[in-house]
Amino acid sequence: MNHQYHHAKLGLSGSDSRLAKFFPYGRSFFAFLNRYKNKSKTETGKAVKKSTITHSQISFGARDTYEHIDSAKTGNTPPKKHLKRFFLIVMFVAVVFLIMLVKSKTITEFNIHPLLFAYSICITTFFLFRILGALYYNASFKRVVSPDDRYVCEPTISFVIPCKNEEKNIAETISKCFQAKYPREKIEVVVVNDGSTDNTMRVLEGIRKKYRNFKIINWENNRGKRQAMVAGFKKSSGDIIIQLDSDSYIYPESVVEIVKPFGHAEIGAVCAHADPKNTNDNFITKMQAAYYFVSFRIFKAMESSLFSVFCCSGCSSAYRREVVLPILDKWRNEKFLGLPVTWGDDRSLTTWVLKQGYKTIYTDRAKACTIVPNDFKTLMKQQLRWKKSWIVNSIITGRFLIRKHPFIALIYYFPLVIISFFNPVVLFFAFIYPIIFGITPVFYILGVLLVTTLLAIFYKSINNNDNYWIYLYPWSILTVFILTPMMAYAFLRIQDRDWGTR
Amino acid sequence: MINKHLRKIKIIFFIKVGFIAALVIFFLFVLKDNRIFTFSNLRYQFDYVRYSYKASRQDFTREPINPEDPRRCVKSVPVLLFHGISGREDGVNITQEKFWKRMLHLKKMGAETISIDDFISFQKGQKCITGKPLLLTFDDGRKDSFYYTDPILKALDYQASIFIITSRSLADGGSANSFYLSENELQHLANTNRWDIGSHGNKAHESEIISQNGEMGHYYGNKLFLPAENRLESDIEFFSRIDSDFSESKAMIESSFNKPARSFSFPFGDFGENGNYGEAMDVVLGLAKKHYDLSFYQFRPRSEDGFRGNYSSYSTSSLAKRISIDPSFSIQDITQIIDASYDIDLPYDEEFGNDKRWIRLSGEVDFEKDELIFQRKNGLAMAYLDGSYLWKNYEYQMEIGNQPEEESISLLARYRNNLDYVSCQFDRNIIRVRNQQGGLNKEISRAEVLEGAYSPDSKNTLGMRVVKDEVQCSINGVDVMDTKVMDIPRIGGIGVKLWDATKQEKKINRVTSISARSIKQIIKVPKPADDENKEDAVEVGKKYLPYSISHFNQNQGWKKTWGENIYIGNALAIKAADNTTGGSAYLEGAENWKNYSLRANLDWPKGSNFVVSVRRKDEKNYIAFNVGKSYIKLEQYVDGKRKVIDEVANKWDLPKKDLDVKINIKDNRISCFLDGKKILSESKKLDKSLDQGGVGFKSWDKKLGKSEIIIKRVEAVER
Repeated sequence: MNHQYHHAKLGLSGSDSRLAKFFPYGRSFFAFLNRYKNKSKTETGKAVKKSTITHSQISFGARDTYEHIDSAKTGNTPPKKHLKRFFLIVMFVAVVFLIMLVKSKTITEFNIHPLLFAYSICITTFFLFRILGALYYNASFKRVVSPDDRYVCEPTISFVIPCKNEEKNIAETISKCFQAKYPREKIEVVVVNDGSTDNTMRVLEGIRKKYRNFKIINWENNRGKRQAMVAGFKKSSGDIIIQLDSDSYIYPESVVEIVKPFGHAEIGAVCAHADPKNTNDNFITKMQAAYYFVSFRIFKAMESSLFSVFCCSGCSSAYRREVVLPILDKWRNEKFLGLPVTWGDDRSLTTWVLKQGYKTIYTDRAKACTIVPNDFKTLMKQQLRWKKSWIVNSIITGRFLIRKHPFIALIYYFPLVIISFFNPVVLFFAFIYPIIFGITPVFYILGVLLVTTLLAIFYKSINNNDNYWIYLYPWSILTVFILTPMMAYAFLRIQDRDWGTR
Repeated sequence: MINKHLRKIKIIFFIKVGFIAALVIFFLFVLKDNRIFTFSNLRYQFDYVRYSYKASRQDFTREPINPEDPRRCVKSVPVLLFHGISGREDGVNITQEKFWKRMLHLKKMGAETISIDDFISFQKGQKCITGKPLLLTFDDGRKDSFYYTDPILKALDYQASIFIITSRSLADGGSANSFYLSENELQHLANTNRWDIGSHGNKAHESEIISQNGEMGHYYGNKLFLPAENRLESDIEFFSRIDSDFSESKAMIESSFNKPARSFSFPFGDFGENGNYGEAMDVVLGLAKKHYDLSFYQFRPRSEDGFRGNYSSYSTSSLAKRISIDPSFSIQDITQIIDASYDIDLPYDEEFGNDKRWIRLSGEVDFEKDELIFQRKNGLAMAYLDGSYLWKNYEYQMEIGNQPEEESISLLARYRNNLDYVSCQFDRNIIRVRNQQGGLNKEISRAEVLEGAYSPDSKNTLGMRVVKDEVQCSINGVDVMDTKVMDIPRIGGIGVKLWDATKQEKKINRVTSISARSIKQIIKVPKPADDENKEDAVEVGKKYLPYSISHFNQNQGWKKTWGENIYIGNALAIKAADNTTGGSAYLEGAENWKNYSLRANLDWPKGSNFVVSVRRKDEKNYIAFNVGKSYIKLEQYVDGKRKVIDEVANKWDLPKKDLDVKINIKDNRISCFLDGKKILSESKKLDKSLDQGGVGFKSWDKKLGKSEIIIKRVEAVER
């Protein structure tokens, strides 16, 4: 393989101070303080910007947009916005305090068992850590891709899209790939038609005429997503393989962003930020929009600050070819309790990448969108599949993680696994059990609402564009009543390897 | 680069996890026992603001409680028991809003709460309480009894007492309980100075096995069954169990709050009346008295018979009754219960207001316009006048409508309860005097009605008079019966009983006027031969022991000797005239009192000294208890010559109002008390010539016209 791209240069240029790197809010606060002081600085800033524009003219034009976003983050922000941020921080602290209060009350009012007390302390610590860890995302991400990087790597990219019976969506997905703001000759698209029974093949044939660098693998019989992906990966030729679902795409302007982190040789996979395309369908999709935002921008972002995202989402992730190719066969034939694992391909592939010793990160600059289930039944099937995949992969990942990355395993991964496995039990004893005995589990409900509020504040502080944060509340209620008990159900149905939605 | 950065991030995250964990642990432990950030407290603060606002919109300026005499000392205080406050009303608990309405109503009717210490002093006759005093109590030490009620009490400036189950609130810190107040919370409760803490037993609020068959019973009322030995407790075991429970809970309260635990309330109100051990009641009451100054039992005004108030000095036992306020009571019910439980003075004229002082025992008793209507049920209608418990020698008349042939009308006097009273029974042609004693009714004497004296078909005025043990019955002002009754209650109120042997229903009789007046001085020619009656002989102008006065007026023998005497309301003010440094007065006719205990309740608004004199023979011979601002002296005057017997510095912070003075004098021993505290005690130094004499008061100050004391009550009993 030819590595024609340069390793990006890391630097601290343009930022206020080292301290400010680790305090994203503090950083804007400093910027606010220096607003008038820095007039001379902005002139040099302009010069920098000018040079980037000239550079980007050669490669792509999207740079301006992101330059703009960066300047909004670091530069002169109106005081009103700072006031709002300050208010959100105060809210955040107040809610944390209230959570502690509720916790302390559960201890006194129910004469808690010491073990349960320890568990309670751990879970609170972990949850707060997880949320606060997400605050480091920006600082950490800048280590990989600095907004001021003048050296942009432009390797060849291949989009691999497995599809089955997708005559409606596939054309749009493919055309979006070719519209990417990226040197056209470096783009390649591989579609695997995994035994479609509708007109998918005919649509693909039609598209083939329009584009060069467009490859089709056509299977008469359905062989499964994993098999399709493996075939696609093998057929592709790009240095970076971007895996997409048939109904998802990466916004053409931000394709370059998912490629940028590969400038570092340690990076094995990059996960883009995905939002539902059909958000406005109904209540269920709005709820998922809020949930997607939180799970990407908070939970994945937190994992990303440790350079270990445990699941590069299947709908839009990029892999380094040289990392993925050697493991494809092992991944394809992966078994759990004697049966082949059909679902959880994305999580599993990420695990293999991590196992190879590469880093995986998440970038909020590459935006993707996907179609989410808009009816309750499909959503439940999807969730059940995810839960099963989580169970299977948590065990597989846990085995090597403790040896390779004991720190991450102990501080983050094992608590996460234990908590998610114990949650149904805790739910029963803290919520269902009191109800059976006629006690209203006020504290539990309050705790759930407060934690949701914490997430909502975080949501609001990052994403000011929409107000879907309010749907976090119904989502957390859904989580308490259905998704958490579902974990127990997933354990029972772990040997049922059926896909569910297809 | 990334790996290097990852190391840094690891360190930061590690510190962060540690920091958050430390923060969580710290907060959990700090907040665990905090009182400020609790739902109860936040709710409490919110309620306080709410009720303060509501209270501020109320107009509590009201008519004087007793227009003629605002400073009259009451002789009876009602104690109310509220069970609990909860979100939903049930048979025991009421809602907070309802509790507020009740308290607000009590405040509006002029009731003021007192502390348990005041109540104990009152009960012992050591303290004068004016107005409409009330003692509020709560049992069990439940959280709701504090958090839901205290904002209301605070807003209305009320206080209350709470009786805690020490094993549930104080044992092992008692912090891990969601229902009972913890020690921490009780500490706070005690610090508000609105609450007194009493005991509700230590382990006594449990039900225990009391028989071989596994029957359950109350801890105090029964001997427990010992399954290991297959027998009931022995007398000694019972005694020691009860004794240790009393002392344990007392000790726990005292060690926790550093205050004496003076009061106790029986769990379930049970002190052994109906248990499996006949002597339980004696043992339990005896032990309660040993450990506590006061024990409370419950009294249900709907179903139980008896005077509602707790009467001062006459209750020799340390028992007091609490009126259990049921959730079903309306505000009117509560008003009537409380109003009726204060004592009434003689003379008394029934105004047929709607205060329901007439307590129905049987049948229907109602007010209608200017009438009291009796309606028999099962042939019987019976009622008594609450508040008349302390009446002693009195006569009363009532005008009653025509008497059906089969009906007999009884006037009751010295009514103490359903079991003890005397009665004049008027039938169409026979008058009887009956004595009901311990539930047994005995005819004492009977007389036939003279022709023309009584016409049962029209209105008649029936009367009854009790003086000492003498009972008289009268019809239309004519005495028809006069007899002595043995074993008659010393004090007691009045009542009416209508009885129909044929048990005809729905007969109504109307009482259109009732009036009673006291008989204080009876002129009677002593019979020297009759030794038994000697004691009862009464002379005009002479004062006998026991002596008691709380309504002063010109005709009661208090003579001015110096300065000015002014009668204000029912009190006597002894003050300096414009040209004197002091004033004085003495009780005429008390010169031959010998060994006695004098107690006086007075206000001391002005002047540097006041003097209470005893063994006062005349102007020049007496013993003076001289209370000054800086010293207290005991002096004796023999033929005008002063001699100081004893002197101490006045280190006591004496109140300006309701000062309680007590002097015990017997033979040549004297001891003096102020506000229940012993100040001076001397023996053998008294001059032999001062062996008998009455009482007097004096006020004094260096400056002219500057001294004053107001005597509100004087009592003297023989020693």
